[in-house]
Amino acid sequence: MSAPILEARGVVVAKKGRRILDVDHFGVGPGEIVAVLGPNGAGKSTLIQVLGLLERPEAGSIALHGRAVGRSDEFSARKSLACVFQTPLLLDRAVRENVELGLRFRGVRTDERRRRVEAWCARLGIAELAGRRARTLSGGEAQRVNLARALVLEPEVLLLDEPLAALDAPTREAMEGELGTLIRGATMAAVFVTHHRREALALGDRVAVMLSGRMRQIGAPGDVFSRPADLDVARFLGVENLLAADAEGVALRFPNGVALQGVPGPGGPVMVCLRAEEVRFLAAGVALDPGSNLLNGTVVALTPSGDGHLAHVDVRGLALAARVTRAEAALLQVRPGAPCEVSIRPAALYAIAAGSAGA
Amino acid sequence: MFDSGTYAEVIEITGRTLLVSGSALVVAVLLGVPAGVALAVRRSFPGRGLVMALVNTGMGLPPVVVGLVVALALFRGGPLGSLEWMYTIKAMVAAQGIIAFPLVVGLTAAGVQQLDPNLVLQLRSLGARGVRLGWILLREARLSALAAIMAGFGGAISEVGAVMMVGGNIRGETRVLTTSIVQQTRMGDYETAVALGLVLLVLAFAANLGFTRLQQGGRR
Repeated sequence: MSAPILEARGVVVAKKGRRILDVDHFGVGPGEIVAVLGPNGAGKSTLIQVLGLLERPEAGSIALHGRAVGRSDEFSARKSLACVFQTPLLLDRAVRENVELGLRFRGVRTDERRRRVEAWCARLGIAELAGRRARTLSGGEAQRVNLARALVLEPEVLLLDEPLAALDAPTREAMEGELGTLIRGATMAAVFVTHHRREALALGDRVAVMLSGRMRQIGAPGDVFSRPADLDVARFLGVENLLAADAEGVALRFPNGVALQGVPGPGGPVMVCLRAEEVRFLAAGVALDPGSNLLNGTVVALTPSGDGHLAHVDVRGLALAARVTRAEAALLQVRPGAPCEVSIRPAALYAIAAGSAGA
Repeated sequence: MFDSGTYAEVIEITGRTLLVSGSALVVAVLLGVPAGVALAVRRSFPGRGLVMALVNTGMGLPPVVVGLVVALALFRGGPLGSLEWMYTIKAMVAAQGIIAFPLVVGLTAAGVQQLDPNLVLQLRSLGARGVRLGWILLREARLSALAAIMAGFGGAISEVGAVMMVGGNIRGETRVLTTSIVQQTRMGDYETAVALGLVLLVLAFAANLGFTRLQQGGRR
């Protein structure tokens, strides 16, 4: 990451004696989207408010372009930022007036205001709504206006607090990709807070996992999802297989005697993280990836999951979850009680030292 | 109902009633609306709970007590005696303003507090602050704000105890509709008292009709 535009340095926020935010360092670089992923109550919204200079931390500071923002600079520094909250919070006025509100506050000239409002309304597909009263809009339309109101400011950093959470699933999915395109197209940096793993994966250049007010892991989405920093993170990220084992070199021995080849990692008692999509059912005679672990077992149950199934497989007492599409399940005869062959890539077995519950 | 002399006096009393209660309302609104917005927006200053309790108590202030306090302050030996407001319209405006003020503050604060608390954050993030922020919040809570103004006007125009004490019900100088009704009733002239009561009701109704049209117009 190049030098961050906006940073939180040693930020602590406490309410009623309880620390709800405790971040050593967090930053977002130019043109970067950082998705902050965490459960409800993790402190994500507070992080957005602190980064947006809307709430002062008890300790630490917010820096813009490397310079800590003091009380006297807050108002002017806020002009580099824009926030989008979960609920649209539109004023009871016409859509156009709502979109241009921030530009008015920031003293942008009338002709420039008009140009930007028209351009952003068109980009967000709300040009035809410009004359409508905000309270007559649907949830999806209102959230588009909410986004337009922030994007029209063309901030250096856009701060989004679960902007899609209040939308129905089809609207949310449609807006997910669109939002990424809009932000990247406008070459602004963004911090995007969500509790949806898929949104974080879809939008984030980096993903930060936040639990109980602390940043527990920050990295590329693929790294974070396949190599969680600790057990809490792994559980939150929904790693389907968390298996106790003993590690010696690259060998992983499970209590029931099953042994698998992994990759170099910590030795001794470990918890092995394995994504269900990495447990692949094999058709007889299909060549394995070189070095893959091959296991024979029995399908115990199939549960619907997303577009396919989650198959529960018993390998000599070792319970594994494997993701399988409906077509694969039919083709490979994956059904309860059926014997099966599965393969697991060594690199998919990620071991973390047992008892690493994180900070 | 009235002979021509009485009719002229009723017109004069009605005009004075409007002048006193209208002025009191203007004072209460000018001071009370910003105070109500500030109370609603600043949710964590020390002593806020006490201030809110005082405002809520003030919403039920007995007019006679207000009259007594204002009279004690304005009597020649009182702390504000040098103003020489006692038994003048100014004293009546002050008393009715004190009655209307907490009603305006309390109901404005309640109305603004009903808005989503994140709206303040959203507006601040867009660049609003100070008076501009308060004005936008007030516009969003305009139905409640107008209800607050109506309540303040109702509290002012309908009270009798305070204006009687500080105005003295002096014919041609400080007599208003409520004090006049009391006077006529004491004198046994129930017909005039009822007629004056009707005038007061029509006045209150007309004012509230105007406020209501303003309030409901905002819903369209």
